[in-house]
Amino acid sequence: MTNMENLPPRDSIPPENHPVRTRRYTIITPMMDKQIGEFVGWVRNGVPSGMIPGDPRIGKTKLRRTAALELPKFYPGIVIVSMIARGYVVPSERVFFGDLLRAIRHKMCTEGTAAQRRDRLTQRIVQMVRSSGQGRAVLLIDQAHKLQELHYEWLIDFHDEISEQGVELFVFLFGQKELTAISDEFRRTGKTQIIGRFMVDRLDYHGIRSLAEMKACLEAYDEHAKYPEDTDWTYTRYFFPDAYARGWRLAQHAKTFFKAFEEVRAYSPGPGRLEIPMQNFVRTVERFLLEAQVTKANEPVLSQAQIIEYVLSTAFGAAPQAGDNDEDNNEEEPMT
Amino acid sequence: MISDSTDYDFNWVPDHPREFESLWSVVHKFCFLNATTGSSVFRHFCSREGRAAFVPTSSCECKMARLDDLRFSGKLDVKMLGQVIRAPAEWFQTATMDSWCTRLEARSRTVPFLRFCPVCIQSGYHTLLSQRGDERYCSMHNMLLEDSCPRCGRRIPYAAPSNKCAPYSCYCGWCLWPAIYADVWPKFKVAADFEEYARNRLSCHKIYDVSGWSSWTAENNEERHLPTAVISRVWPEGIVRIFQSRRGALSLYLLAGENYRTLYEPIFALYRCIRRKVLRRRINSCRRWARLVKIGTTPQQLACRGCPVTVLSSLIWVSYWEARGDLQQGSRFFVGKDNSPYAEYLRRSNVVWRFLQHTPLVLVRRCVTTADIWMLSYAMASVAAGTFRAAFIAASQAEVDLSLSSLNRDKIMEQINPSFMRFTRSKSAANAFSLAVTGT
Repeated sequence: MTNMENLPPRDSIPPENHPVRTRRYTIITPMMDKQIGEFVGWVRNGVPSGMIPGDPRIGKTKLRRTAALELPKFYPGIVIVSMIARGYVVPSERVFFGDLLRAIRHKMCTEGTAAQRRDRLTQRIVQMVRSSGQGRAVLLIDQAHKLQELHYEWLIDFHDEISEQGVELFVFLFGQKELTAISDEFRRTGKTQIIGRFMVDRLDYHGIRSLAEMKACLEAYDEHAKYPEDTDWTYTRYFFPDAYARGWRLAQHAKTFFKAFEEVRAYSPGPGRLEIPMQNFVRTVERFLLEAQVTKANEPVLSQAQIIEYVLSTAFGAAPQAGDNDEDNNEEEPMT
Repeated sequence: MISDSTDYDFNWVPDHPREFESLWSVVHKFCFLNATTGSSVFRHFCSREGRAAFVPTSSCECKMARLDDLRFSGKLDVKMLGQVIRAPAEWFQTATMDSWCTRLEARSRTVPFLRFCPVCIQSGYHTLLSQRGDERYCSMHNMLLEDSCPRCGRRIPYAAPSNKCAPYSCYCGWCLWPAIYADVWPKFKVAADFEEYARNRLSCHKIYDVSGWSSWTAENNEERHLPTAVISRVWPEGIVRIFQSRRGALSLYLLAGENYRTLYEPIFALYRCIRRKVLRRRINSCRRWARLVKIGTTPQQLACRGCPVTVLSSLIWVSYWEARGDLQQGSRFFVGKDNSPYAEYLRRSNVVWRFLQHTPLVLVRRCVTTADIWMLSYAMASVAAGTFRAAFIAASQAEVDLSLSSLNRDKIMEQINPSFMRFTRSKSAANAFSLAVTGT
């Protein structure tokens, strides 16, 4: 512990509000870091859109939220609209633009006709962009696989309207892997106007696939994730202060964690390579941080069996695993 | 700028509202930017009292509750609106008449329809000052204030936009400020000395306005024929009969002498009323001639080219009025004083009621045109309205103890000559009468 570290008394930090308990936190994983770098590149190079398909529970939503926070660091003041697409039996223009208005926090998101809502939305985006001085806006749509063809047509109109007023719109679609199938369908049926605007590029987002990635993720608990944020109380340090002071780190036990996941995977083998969804990973780590036994020297006890139990309790093997569809997709690709 | 913030917001443009910008202008801009109507604005910015008493859900209900009159904040929470649009603190005071006088006083001092400077409105600016009945010119541009739509000639209600009336537009669809649809609104700088002038004018309580009442009287067909005896009794030496039509249906009276100043404002209110109707009926149907006049053709030339007499009479009438030295800048049909063939005739005569300039045309045709009937009837109404105050002053000076501070409508009704009760048969007429006479 150096004198420069900001470490208020541990007792002054209410444990019940700790993010690990409330489960309200985001750790920047190497995969996330790489994706955000790609987003920055898209904006810099003028790539108008991109798809980020991925398996469930691998952290796409966290990626969207993090991208919304990180992009302004590269492009100060850039307008970012973050939206979660909703599934509707019958698509409605009025409802769709209402959802977009809600995403930009407009108070009149439930009022007026479709045309009025579209005008309201256009005005808002244009004004936000003008006041930002960037001349561009980024629209992040989560659960984009729920969007139907009509939604894309309305988005095209909106895209054209704000382009007319000098706003460059980037649209990043986050969704399940069926987003790829939707894109292929549009391509097959010649809907190039949709492909050209909203599905130009594609990035596959995945969970933890290697020991190195696992180690980097655990390092986030050791070094980067802090609570309170303006202190040096990292999550690991907070829960095991004495051991942390002696140099103990979670990342040192990355192999144990990875092997535990491998072991569980071995009992319920599926197609494709091992891919650990972020949700299972963070739940395992959280449980370890909260429930791990400690020695007399306040050193946490970390055993393979214990971690396997934690992994099993997250239903890692039960749910459809990440990467299960990889081979199917690979087989289908030559067909399309 | 991330949309994940918890605060919901409305669309608005920085640098607005401008100094002394009226609530009407702000509400219209707000509705345009948020693609909504006035009823929605009332719903979002309803004051606490208004919410408890009455929550308007449609523009129709707003009108019934008199919430659509933007001269007053009414049940609209102007402070809340000001906070949302980040208006400076002093804007609340200058946006409505609430801070300057009581609502009853304000109704008598301001007009219930939109009056605007053609230059200001083209820059997206409207100030409450233009609504005052005694303001004839824009103090910044020295332009005659318009009180009707340039296209259809109808009055534009001083109310929030509705489904039938787009922001900054008339019901006919004419946009008063086309640049509202521009990507960036043009800059507009309020004159440096305007603030002091506006404050003085808004706080000025000495205002003589009977235009509202006179226009009401004129629109009420039953009341526009004022008996000669009534006017003579009011101010015998002030009334001069100057014209009687050959049909004998209408007579025109002039209140001259000392009362000329008294009638000055009603005359111009009257002039605007008549001009609106004349333009709508005569000029709008013959745009060709209007264009000719606009590019500088004289009335004589127009007559040579076969311009219809009705149009020519209207144009001469308008041009003469607006050829007055203090009116010519605001004229859309400006011909010029020297161009009027009747200028000399009117200069030599003692006729103060100058719109009789076109009577030779009428006499040539040996008939009274519809425009003449309008003019005469409006003149009658205006003269009648002007004489009401004279009547009251005369009565109060003679023997009736009616101090201005202790006036009430019933007392006035008792004391004024019963002949005037003809004008107070309806409740609204009685109110208008009271306002015209007492100003309270």
